[in-house]
Amino acid sequence: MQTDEIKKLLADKLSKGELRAVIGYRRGTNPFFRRPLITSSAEELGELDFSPLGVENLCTYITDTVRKRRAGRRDPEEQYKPTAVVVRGCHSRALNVLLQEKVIPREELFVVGLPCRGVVDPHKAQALWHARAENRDPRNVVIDDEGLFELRNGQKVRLAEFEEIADERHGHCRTPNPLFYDVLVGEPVAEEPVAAEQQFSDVEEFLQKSPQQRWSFWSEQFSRCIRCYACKNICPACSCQECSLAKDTEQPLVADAKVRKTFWLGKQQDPANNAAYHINRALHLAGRCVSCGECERACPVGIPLLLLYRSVAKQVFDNYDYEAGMDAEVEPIMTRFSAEDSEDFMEE
Amino acid sequence: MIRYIENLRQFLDNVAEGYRLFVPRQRPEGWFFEPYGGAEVELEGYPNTVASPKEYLFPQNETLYRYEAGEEGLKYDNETAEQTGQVIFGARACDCAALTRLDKVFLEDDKDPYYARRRENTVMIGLVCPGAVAPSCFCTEVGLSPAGVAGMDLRATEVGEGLVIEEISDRGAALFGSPALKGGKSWREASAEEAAEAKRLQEAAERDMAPARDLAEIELEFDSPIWARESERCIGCGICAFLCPTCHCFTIEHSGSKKKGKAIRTWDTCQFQAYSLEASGFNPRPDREQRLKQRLYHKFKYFSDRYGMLLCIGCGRCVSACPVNIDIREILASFEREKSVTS
Amino acid sequence: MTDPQDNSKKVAEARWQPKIIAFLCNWCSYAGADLAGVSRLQYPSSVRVIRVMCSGRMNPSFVIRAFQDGADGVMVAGCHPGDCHYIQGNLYARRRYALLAGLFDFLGIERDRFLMSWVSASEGGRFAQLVTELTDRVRALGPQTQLSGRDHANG
Repeated sequence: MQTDEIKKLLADKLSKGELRAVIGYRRGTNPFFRRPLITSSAEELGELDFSPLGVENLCTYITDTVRKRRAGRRDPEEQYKPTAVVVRGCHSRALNVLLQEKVIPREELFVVGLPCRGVVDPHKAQALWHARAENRDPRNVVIDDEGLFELRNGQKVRLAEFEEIADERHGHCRTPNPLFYDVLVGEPVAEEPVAAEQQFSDVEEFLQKSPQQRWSFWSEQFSRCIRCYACKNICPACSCQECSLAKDTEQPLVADAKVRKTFWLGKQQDPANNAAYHINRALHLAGRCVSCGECERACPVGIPLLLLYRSVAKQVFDNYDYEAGMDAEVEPIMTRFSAEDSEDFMEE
Repeated sequence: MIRYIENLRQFLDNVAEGYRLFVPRQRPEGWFFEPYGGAEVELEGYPNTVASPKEYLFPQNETLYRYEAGEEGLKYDNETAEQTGQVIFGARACDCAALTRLDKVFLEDDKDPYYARRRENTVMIGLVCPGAVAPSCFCTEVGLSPAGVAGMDLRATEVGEGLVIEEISDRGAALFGSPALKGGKSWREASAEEAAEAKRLQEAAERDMAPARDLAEIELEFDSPIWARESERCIGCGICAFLCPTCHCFTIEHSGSKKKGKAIRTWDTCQFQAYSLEASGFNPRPDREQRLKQRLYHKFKYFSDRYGMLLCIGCGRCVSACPVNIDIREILASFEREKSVTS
Repeated sequence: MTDPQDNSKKVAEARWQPKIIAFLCNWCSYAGADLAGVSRLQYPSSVRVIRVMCSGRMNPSFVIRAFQDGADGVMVAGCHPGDCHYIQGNLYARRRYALLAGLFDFLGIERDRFLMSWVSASEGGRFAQLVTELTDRVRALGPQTQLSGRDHANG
């Protein structure tokens, strides 16, 4: 379906009360990526944008809605109207994870699938703009499928090809097309997904380092963490009502002083606490992280979180031939076991 | 005296002899302040740092005191280690102005000894901006200037191949009286032309950033639907507060055991839900809508009502770092529009 | 909090004794450890035992927290597959700890400090042997500094 038709369809559904809200992308004040549009007003749907600048994983707002609902009054009899959400391939995997884990029923989703040839890396785009633009006024930024341009006297002057501003972390993409949808924006893309066995070349490259080099790298990265929790908050897989790793920031469901005492981490931002936060979180994402990369994009100090979580995804794939979010019907991998699971890591 | 530094490396080497020195360095992830370490400082293309220099006066973690239970009872040790001098080179005018806001909080009325100690021993060498250095700069809209001197001890302007250095405070002047710099090996008096060029560049920077509006004039409305709309996409992280040069909320945690431990002050933020959670279980700001409102009100109303200056200094870090593009400039503009529509 | 400088001093004075935390499941491995004691088998006194009902109850966060609190080595032991008192708890644990071990590898965290094994109620000798092995490995590595230094709030 063409974008105009999609906007009309969604507007119709909203006006008729068939949808609770529409979650998509729209232009914001940052020229290097689009911002989330969360609206129940049909008039605002004209703003919907489907360009490669829509990078956020909007499924995090589905998770958010459910968490808020759990915290408030929930009438078990009430039928919740579906929420429309725009999803790229990796985001559709995230939805599968939410469906698998029974976070939200399929009937409460109206999935607008967005086939994807790659998204812009906002950090790269901004750096190239800063380096190459003549007049750095952000109003002169133009980014489209062709690349990064500067508007000079009304003329588009190319500063970079699309490949230069594309997010190369998505070179490992396994799902250029959404795995499921209610409507599809345009036509499926012909891009070939990376073969399953080849998808972890980034992790394999890192594993070339010696153990000392690895720890030297990660301890330096963790020491820069400011524990803002953007990585956790923007992640759609993080749907726990009470996060065991961020008790210093969230209100417990029950105001019980004893519950709040069981801190896994100190609030202090020091190398040991930071490392513990990241290690624990990586384990919590085993078999659930879909490599959307939002954690890394959101991190204000540029910690390569995607690499960390993908190292766990690689283990899950190598050991159990399992990739997160490919199939909503199977049980989550860490809730299962096999009689043949490897004991190589164990002591004889 | 107005001085000129031809060789920045030599000057910084000299400073480093007598002080802990922090300079801006470019990493793949962005620009950050780092210990000098002796390597050449490249200022080409320097915008502003990702994290503000407030951490040098108000660290993210600070031990307040230690205690130990011994045979004679409880020993208690205030962290009163002598604070050695530090120099922050290359701080932008906005970040220096931020210190005047922190001074109000930590030094007026009861002095915070930890902040006071660091502040007395810190020399801020500010670096004039050539204009807006980042897409989200808006210091002039909050009444500041890219060439401003608030909170600065010395002001540096890139002139020719070197820097013109102007004394702004006694502390800044005293730096040049220190043993490391007294000899004048790495600096000389600036020529009249150099001083004039510095002034010209400062004025050009201000003209380049002529403000579209005065954000101090904008009236926020407590019950506006704008708050719900803007906070809808907020993910509730601490990026805006932790990167902000003027945010100063903190919490104090104790660690250790009954026998031995310490009290640690760490940054906290009103953007976290548990921040305003009361012992009874009641939370006056349970949703992100109220917390976003709190942030804007603190920056643009509560602080200025009390101290006569906006808490926001227009660096734009919150705007460019917000992963979902919540833009306080835009929110304020919405209120301005609302007012002009209804009035 | 373990200060790395304190550590090297300690080791130098040869007063440092490794601290090993052993999480043992109630039905098999704890009984096995008990048997080692009753049989008067010698094994290093560096080990502190924490009894859990099943290795499947073990949260990998426990291992990480033990390291944060200054443990130099951590051991997790459960029943042999097929013998779990709760039928399959140890099989869940096997999958979980494979991931933890792999993650330690990836991060460059000293892998030799973590040991997982099956110990049955009759394997007193095996328990003693495993503790001895782990202690020797940890002794060679010295005090643990990668994750220690955690200051946790006591509330």
